[in-house]
Amino acid sequence: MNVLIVMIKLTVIMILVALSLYSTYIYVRKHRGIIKAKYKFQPYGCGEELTREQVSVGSRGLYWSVVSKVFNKLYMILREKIHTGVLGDWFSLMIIFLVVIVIVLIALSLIGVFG
Amino acid sequence: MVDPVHHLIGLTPPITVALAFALPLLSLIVKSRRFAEVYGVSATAIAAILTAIAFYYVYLVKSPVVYTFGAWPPPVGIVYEVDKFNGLLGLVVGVVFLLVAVYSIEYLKHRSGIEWYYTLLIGMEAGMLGVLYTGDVFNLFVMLEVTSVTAYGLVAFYRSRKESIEAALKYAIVGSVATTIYFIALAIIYGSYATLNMAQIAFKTMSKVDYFFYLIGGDRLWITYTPMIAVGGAAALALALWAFSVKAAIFPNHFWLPDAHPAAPSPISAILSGLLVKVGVYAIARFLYTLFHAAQPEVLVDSALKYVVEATLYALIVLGALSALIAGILMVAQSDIKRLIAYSTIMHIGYIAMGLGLATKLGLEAAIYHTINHAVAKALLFLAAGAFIHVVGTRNIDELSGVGRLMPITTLTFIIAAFSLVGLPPFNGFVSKYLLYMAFIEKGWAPLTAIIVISSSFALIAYVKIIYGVWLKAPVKELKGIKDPSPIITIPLLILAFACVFLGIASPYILDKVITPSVVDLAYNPLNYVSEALKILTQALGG
Repeated sequence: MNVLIVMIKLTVIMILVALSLYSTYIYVRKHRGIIKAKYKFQPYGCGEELTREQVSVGSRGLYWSVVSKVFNKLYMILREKIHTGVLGDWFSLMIIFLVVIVIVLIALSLIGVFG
Repeated sequence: MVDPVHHLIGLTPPITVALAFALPLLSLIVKSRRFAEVYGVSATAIAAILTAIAFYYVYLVKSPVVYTFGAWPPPVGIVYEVDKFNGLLGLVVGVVFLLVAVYSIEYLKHRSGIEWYYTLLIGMEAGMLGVLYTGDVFNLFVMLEVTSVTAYGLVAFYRSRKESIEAALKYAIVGSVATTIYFIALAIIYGSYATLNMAQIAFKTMSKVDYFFYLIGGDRLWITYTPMIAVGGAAALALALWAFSVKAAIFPNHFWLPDAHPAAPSPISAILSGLLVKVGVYAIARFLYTLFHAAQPEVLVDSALKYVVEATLYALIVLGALSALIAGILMVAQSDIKRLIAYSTIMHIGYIAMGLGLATKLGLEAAIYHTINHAVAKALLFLAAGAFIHVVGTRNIDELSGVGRLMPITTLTFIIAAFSLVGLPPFNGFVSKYLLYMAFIEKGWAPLTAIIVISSSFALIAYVKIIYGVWLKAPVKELKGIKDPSPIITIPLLILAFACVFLGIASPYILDKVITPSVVDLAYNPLNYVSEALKILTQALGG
């Protein structure tokens, strides 16, 4: 299928979906029948003074909770074992991979020559 | 009589090197910051014009251009050989460097040592163009070192910051290990194939006779082939590609990248992420497809080498898939905007590696188009992030909250780049990802598309986190006097944003006229690459 046709179709679909979701949101917001009180928007911290930074969700928490729950174990393995940022860890990992690849390729070539 | 355009093309990297070395000397005479800035922009503009000439010429004359240094023909002397593949990548390098040089004027206006910055920047461009244009595997090593050494210096540009020094040292150690491995590969290549010329190696992997040496003065056409050459070829291929995987930051050789990119000034991060890692990708593609004919293994003279090449392709796909998934997961966890974007680079290099590993025409088209698209979109993303950092003075996503509304042009360009990289239509990233999906399906490996879908969804989460923060979240600190930076920064952003849209909408034309011919030159027309070098040799011998 022509790439341009695919792109046009998908773009139109995306815009339509986005527009319908946005108009639904506008409609619901208009007709929800709740009277806003100003005090509801003031953060309440049991008498403590809170900054905006403290009451808003940090970038680490935002959307991350899903990933951290589903892939937390994998993430910890990655952080603690594979991507530590320590050069010695990289070197040992790199050497293991390199030795395996060199041995496999040389073995294959020898099999090709003598087999 | 050599066509004067050949001189221009061949001399592009040496001219750029000369321009780089002249700047510190000239700045001893003209002690003006403005001079260094104008000089830097002019030098990169000259290089951009020369790369555009090279691109236009190789697409016009429809055969590779071979330039001999000192009129020494291949394989005796060093040659530069520009075909449609490296001509295209050279053009991308030329244009992005020019935009970055302009952007740097405003971005680094409060920093001292600007003459050294532009010296290293122009030097890095010279090194990259040398890596791309060279037709000699040893000269590739030299130019790779030129690129790397300048890159280490630029990562450490903020030399008063501990993290910059640490990142540069780490990058230098990792890079030196990689080039040492490549040097060992070169020794094995020379021991096995008795040459360092790429065209001659490409010929010798296809033929049992060495026509180059016959032309130079052999009394008859000797059979130079022995089956054991395949063992040397296997070892050389493994070591060389491993070294290039460090430069390209493919798993597990991506360690240096997440530290180096955030530590460097943002325009340098754009170069590192958009272009420097592509040098590794280019070298992998050139070795696999031009020298060892991975797309047409039936032309290989040695059946043993076929197994080796096939195994290498599988390894590339596995490592590419691991890069994409691991970087995707690590990307979401970042709170430093530049570090997050740096992980995205590892992910996209994974996609490109997977495309290269397919060894089909569609897979290669996808890989090369994604290389171009990623270079443009990632450069834009880093430059836009740099504009936020330049204005607000922090890399922390939380502290950037609310600045987007005050900087609409920067935010718009950031969103275009992010959407392009996630793969939303009608931007360029969508087209190359779509081609990659189709390439997997065509090969019968449809389940692998899931890796791209999953990692792209991680990327979407990460980018939405930034876009939500800068656009919708309430500011966490008082944002007084914050507005879009000067046109010196926003114009390069708008040009790159336009390129993201243009490369998407005009993709059918670009694929047909630019990408497919470059894939043919890279992988499906080895005799073309070899015969141009042979023609030069014959002419030099008076034939």
